[in-house]
Amino acid sequence: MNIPKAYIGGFQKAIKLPRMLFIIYFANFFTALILALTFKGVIEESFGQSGILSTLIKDFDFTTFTNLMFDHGDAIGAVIGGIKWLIIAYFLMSIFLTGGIIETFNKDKFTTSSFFGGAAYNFFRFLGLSLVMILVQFIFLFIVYIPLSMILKSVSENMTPEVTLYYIAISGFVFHLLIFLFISMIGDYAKFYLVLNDSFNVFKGFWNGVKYVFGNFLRTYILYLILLFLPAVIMYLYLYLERDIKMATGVGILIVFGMQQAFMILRVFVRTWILSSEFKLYNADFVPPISQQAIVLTVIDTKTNTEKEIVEQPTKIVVKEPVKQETTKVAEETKQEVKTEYAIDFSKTFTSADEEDTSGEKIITEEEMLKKVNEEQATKIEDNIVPADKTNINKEENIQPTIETVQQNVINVEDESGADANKEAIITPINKSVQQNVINVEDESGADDNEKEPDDNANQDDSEADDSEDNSDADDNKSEVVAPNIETIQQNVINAEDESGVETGKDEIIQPNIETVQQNVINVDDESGVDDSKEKDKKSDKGIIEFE
Amino acid sequence: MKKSNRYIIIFILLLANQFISHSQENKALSPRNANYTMDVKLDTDKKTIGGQLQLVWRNISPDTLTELQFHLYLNAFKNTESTFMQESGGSFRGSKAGEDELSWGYCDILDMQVKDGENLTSKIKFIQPDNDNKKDQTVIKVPLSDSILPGQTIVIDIKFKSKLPKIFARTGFAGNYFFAGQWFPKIGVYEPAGMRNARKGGWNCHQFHANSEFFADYGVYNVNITVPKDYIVGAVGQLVDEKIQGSEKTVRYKAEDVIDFSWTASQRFIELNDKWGDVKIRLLIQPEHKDMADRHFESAKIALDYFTAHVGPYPYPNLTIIDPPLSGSGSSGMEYPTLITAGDAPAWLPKGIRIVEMVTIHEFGHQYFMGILASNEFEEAWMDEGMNSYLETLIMDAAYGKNTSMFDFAGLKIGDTEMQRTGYANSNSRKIAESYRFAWEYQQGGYGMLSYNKPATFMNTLHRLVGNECMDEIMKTYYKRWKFKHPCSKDFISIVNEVVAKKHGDKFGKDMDWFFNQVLYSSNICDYKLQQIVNNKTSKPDGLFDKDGSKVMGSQIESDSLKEYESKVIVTRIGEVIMPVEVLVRFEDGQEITKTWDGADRSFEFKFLTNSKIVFAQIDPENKIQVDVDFANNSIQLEQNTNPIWKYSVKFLFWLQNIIQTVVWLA
Repeated sequence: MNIPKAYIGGFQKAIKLPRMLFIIYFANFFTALILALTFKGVIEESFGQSGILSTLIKDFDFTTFTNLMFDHGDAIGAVIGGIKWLIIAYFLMSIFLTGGIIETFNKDKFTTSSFFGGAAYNFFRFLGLSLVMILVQFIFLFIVYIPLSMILKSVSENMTPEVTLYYIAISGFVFHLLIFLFISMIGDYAKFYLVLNDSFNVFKGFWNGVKYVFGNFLRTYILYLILLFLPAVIMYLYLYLERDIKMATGVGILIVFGMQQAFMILRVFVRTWILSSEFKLYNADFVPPISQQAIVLTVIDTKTNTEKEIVEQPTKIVVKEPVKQETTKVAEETKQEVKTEYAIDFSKTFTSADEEDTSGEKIITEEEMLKKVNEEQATKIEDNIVPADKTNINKEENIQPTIETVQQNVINVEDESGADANKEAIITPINKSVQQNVINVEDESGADDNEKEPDDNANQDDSEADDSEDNSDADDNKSEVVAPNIETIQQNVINAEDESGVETGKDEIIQPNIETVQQNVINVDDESGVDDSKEKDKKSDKGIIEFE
Repeated sequence: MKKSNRYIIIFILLLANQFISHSQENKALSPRNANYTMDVKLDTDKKTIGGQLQLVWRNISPDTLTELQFHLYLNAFKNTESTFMQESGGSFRGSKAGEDELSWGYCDILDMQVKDGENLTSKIKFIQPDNDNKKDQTVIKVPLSDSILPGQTIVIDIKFKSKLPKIFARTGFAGNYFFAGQWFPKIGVYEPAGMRNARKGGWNCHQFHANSEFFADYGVYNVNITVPKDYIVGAVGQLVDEKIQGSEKTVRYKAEDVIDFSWTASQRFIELNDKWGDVKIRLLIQPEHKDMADRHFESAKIALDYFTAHVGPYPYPNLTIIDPPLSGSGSSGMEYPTLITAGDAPAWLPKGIRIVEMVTIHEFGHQYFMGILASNEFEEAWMDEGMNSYLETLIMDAAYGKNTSMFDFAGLKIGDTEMQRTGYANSNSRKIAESYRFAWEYQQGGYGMLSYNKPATFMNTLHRLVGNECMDEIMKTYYKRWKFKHPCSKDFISIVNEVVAKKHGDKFGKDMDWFFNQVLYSSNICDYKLQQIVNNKTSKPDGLFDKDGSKVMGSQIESDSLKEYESKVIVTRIGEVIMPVEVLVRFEDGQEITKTWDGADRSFEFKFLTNSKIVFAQIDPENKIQVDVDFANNSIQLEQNTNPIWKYSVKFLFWLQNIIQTVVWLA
């Protein structure tokens, strides 16, 4: 996605979220109002009935101001001192609100409940991220200012023209400002990473933000700076207009107040716009973790030479903690065997939700998938699945495609006849965001059990329609994508029986990314009638889908 | 024409020429009793000035003197044990002393000898007239074998070497910029009994303190300065001659009727020239400040105009303005006769921030206040800094607007007068001391406030009390009577008494001593408060009254003289200082009445019987009493206009919103 596209897209998205904007604006307004009202009370109390107050109506009056500060400096100082607490409070509130904003972008629509739900859900990881950012800001502060001050000291002690000092000082300041903004920008992308990957690892989030920003330096930074330029222009405009409006009467004060608040709404909008544009940019490049991708199973009946597809939508399976440990352990044990020898080509195995409409694949829920699997189990599909090297088919496979890494995992399946025609389901990644898992299975019966199931997800969205500002042009199913928790491990186990009698019933575990361990286990029951039902039941409790 | 006649004519012409030249040179404006001829050379590598001087000093006192005393100001920067360093803590005007060997300064007398007489070198002794810091070497005394009789002149040859410090406290070097101030052995002032505050004759030769400036006799200076030929030199007085020899050049400067001599040299100066009448104005400016040149020239001319019109004529033929580099800012904002150093302001300084103008006007003002009216800066700092600050406020406000003379930028408007006033009135240490005291005795950083701010404020008060015309006459009389002399506080006060009595009779009492006793010689503060406004409805008289031969009840009496309200304004004096004050009273129907009060009692009531309520009252409505430390309690408005409160609350809210919204970048 190029900058103008992100810029315009971000604008379009932000402008369509007025309710969200006003929530943020009012948060700002009421937070500031607390101290402003205190300030008003203090100056009312300080001036009392003094006629000197009238000197302030036309313009700023230095004598009156300093007199007031001298006489009531403690009270006013307390108000001024309160600003730091207000900053801290609003800092926390901003973290909270940003969580809601990104959640809204992620869902591509606004609902009050999801906004605040997202805000609450994201709060602690964003807080952690902000602390990391502040730490990094301080580090860079020292990195910039210690040498800068040394240079300035050295230069100022000599007869260097002072203009050089200014250039150095201004350069240092601008340099630091750019770094400051750069780190802030990294923070934005880190937040996107955390949300889209449902990660709580703020360091990793920050690091991924760094990687993303450096990988897309010009696009991200230019976008950011262009958008930052806007508040400066708006501020100049405000100051220009305010200069000519005297706040001497109630009407004048009201007009300026209106201008000020309009300006603040603009500032809030610009901030939202920046986030929105950045999100657009990031999301365009984002490859969802496998847990969020639709799985397309292409089943080929080698007898009839017909092809059927089963599409599995991202599931909401949340596996309990012990499962993670267990599965991780399994993954660890089989780690050594995650090699290209079991090459499943995920380019045809997984597809993102975004691609669903264009592919025309039927999406089924996990529940339906289970049902389907059971049905298929009943039909006793005879498969001859032979590993590529024809030796290790029974081993449990752990395949770890990461977002950036394209792995070709090929499962060679031999048919009953031993023919080699459909042995390899070679799936080449189309791109990073569209992956398909294609498993060729010889269906002995030739029965087609893979009818596409109706999509219930859209209906679910409709139920929220009255409470939402749905601006999405994308498929509503996207809202059903649930980012897996770091600790969440989903096991999708496919058990299949190998009609040939070759025991292939061992699990193939697919670990889609570092945090998420997904097991796509294909148990293949051979015709010998080995009963894997116990294992199947056990795994089902853990969210394991079994194919027989 | 006969040959003899020709000789006579030539003789007369020569005689006339000689007479004219002689009279020009001797057209002394001052006593010229301390005259220096110097021949010095700047070593730009070692940062030293070596050379010799010949002092021609005349005893203008009626006393016979047996010793001389000299200032060696540069020894204040010799080590940390000097009184200056002890008092300043090693830092002054943002400069820090002594980071390496080259950064220290000193003045050594290599040889001192009475011309054709005794050698005094071995007799030199450091003395500490102000304290018991035996390690301070800023004053020496030299006993003489032969006394100096009243009216007698002594000629002393001195060989000396001065090492300039890294710019510190007005003098020193910064890279290739050199400013030589207080750099040579300088004789003190002998004060006979009766002169200024002296009860008995003695040398007035104070040590160099952190909070003090200088005091010196008038004289003529002839100074040859040798520098590398690519250096541009500026100095007190006028350039008389310039010779280039090899890689060096020697410039000769001559200054008459001046109390000090300083000079500067740098490779980077740009020289610009202008004129005010017959006065030549020379500006030596840093290249990067070139755009500020007009601001220097303009403000110098404004000051020349004002001083000439309101104080007295500028007696010198020229004025040199030095613009130090940023690295030499420790030498900025300083005054010497015919030479001032400007404020160190960056080239991008907006016009609305008038620091350049203020500093130039202030430093120029010192041409009068201690340059021409040579008061003792050690002992009566208010007479130069305070009085000059007062004139500075008048000039700044007149030239750039009453409330905008210092700042008129980005909505911030500050006048010079109000800035001086708030410097005193809003100082927590405003009562720590009186303004009249030795400069180095001000405690807790009170020097600036008590020698600049408070005197400027009470002089403004005096001005507003007695009026423009009277004040002009006071200043002009002071100038006329004391130019090129050493006036003290009581000399100025006696002129005030004289002129005020002449202009106002006994309006302010038999004299103005009451004023100076309170504001100059006392640390008391002035604070009047408008305590209360009371509006009581009058009640009709009660009881029986005679009317047309019968008794009627008071309630039945109709009277035009009966007023609806019996109102009063209560004023109180919180401070100890007593000033005559005016009180403005405004009624609901718009009528305004101004009453006066001598301000002596602790409380006073103004009573009014009217048909309209009092809605507003204010003490000192014209803000004449600038020394009143609290203007906020000077007035009461019964029906408060809340618009200002809303205005600033709304502004506060807006900026607060912006501040916290900015924090979002970290969230």
